Amino acid sequence: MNNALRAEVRKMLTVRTTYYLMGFSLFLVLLLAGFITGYRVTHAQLLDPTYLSQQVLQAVDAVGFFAALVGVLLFANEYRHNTIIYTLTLSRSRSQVLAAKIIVASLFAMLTVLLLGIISPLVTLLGAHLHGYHFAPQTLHYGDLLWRTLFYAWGYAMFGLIIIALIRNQIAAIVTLLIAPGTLEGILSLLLKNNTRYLPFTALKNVPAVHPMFTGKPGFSALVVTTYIVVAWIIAWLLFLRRDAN
Amino acid sequence: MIEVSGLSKKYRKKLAVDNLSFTVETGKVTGFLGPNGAGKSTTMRLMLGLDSGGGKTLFDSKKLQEHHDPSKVVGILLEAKAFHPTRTARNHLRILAAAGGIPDARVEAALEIVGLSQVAKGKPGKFSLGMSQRLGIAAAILGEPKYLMLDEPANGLDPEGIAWLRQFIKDYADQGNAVFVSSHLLSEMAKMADNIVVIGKGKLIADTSVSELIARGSGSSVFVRSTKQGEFKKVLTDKGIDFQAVDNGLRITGQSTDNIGELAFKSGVTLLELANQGASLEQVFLELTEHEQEFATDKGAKK
Repeated sequence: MNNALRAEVRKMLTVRTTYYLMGFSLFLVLLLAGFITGYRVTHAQLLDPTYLSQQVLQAVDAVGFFAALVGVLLFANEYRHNTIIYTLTLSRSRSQVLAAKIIVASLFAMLTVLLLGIISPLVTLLGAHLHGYHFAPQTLHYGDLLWRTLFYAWGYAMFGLIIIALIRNQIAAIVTLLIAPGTLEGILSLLLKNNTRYLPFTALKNVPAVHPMFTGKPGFSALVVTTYIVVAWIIAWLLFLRRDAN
Repeated sequence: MIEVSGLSKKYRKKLAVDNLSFTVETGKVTGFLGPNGAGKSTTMRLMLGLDSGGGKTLFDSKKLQEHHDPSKVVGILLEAKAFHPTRTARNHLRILAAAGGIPDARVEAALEIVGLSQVAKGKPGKFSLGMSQRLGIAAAILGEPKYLMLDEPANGLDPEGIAWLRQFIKDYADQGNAVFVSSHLLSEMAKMADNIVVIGKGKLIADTSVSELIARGSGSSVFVRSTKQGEFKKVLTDKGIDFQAVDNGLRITGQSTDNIGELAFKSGVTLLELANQGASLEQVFLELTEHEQEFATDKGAKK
């Protein structure tokens, strides 16, 4: 298992895309947190004691997709460039290969999003400070922020990995990951109304959401997401064990 | 020894590999021949457990995944371009080394062996086909495995590269390993292989030594010259072996050089010359696969 983990870490750190995506995520946080929510903060927002907490969750929401994308590419590249033949031949078990990918992609997404989540309020403070503004005393529920941040990053990474494990096509997986949360579930919400909170990406988005959609509270939404992930992984795992490696 | 038994693979209604059984012996190079679409690559993938299908393949009496270190058991080159195009050649191999529990030092050694040390920092996406093949060979030998499985490794190599590959494969087998190699370069195969497995439309056509296979070809014969020609004629006649006296020697049909050499030795007849005449591996291959071509033109290469 250690060998598989080491190989997955090396795979992740030796492609440029990982750095491009992380660079873009950092840029996004600097832009959103530093300029839009910091430098251009309004007087009413300065008085809101939960303002920084909200900025953390919004930043987490914004970069979750990119962190998940790194995990998707970790898996998708294997099929696109057919290195999966080496990965499977060198390993004693396909389950170990899959487990290693899940662990590495999860940890990477969680650490990255956590780091950007920590940077985000600091940059907001800096942006406001540059404008000569000072926030009212802020209330930060660290435990709440932490679990919602980590769960959202993990959930997005899992959805990404499950999609690529099922589809095994890089372009199709990325397109699915792009259109499913907004376009697809957006259309479905017209039919499902309040039950939209049971859809996977809507539930996932409700975990860090400041104002959850369709009354999907974070704890309830996390349970919905976990159920989807467990069921989908059972299917994807079985397919990974049985399918031809191409 | 690699023991392949009852391998089969079906794609919808088409049987790509049909109950295939053969062995790959250690210390020898086993060539794997078949027309395009015969199922060679599928067979190799089945042997490695990459594709699902019927039958089993045992490497030293165990399935590949039952070995503690699969990287020490088999090294593969199934596709020349199986790498991330922008990840450096060195990093590509370092990843495989990590996956196989192989020390990183082996990466440099493998690059040196295949002659790619100078482009270790290069992106393989910009490599020629020949360089890509060399990188694939480096990947295959990384764990110093007992068995090598190479699918068309000579594709894209220049003449110097082909000569290097031939010598490399022979040397690797001579060290007590086994090399299972497919190629369409039949003249090269004749030079380096000890045994040949021929398949057509997924079925086994031949599993024998090169000399035996060539002896099967029509018009194939063995020429011998001996100081005791008369005595050897009697031995051949007693054994019911067809021969014909020609200038300075005998032309024997339907036998391999291995058989004749052994017979002469057992009979105490000193041979001054023993050579295959007539059929080449290419001729025999075309004869064997005459009705097994998946994709053939009306004007086939049959001659």
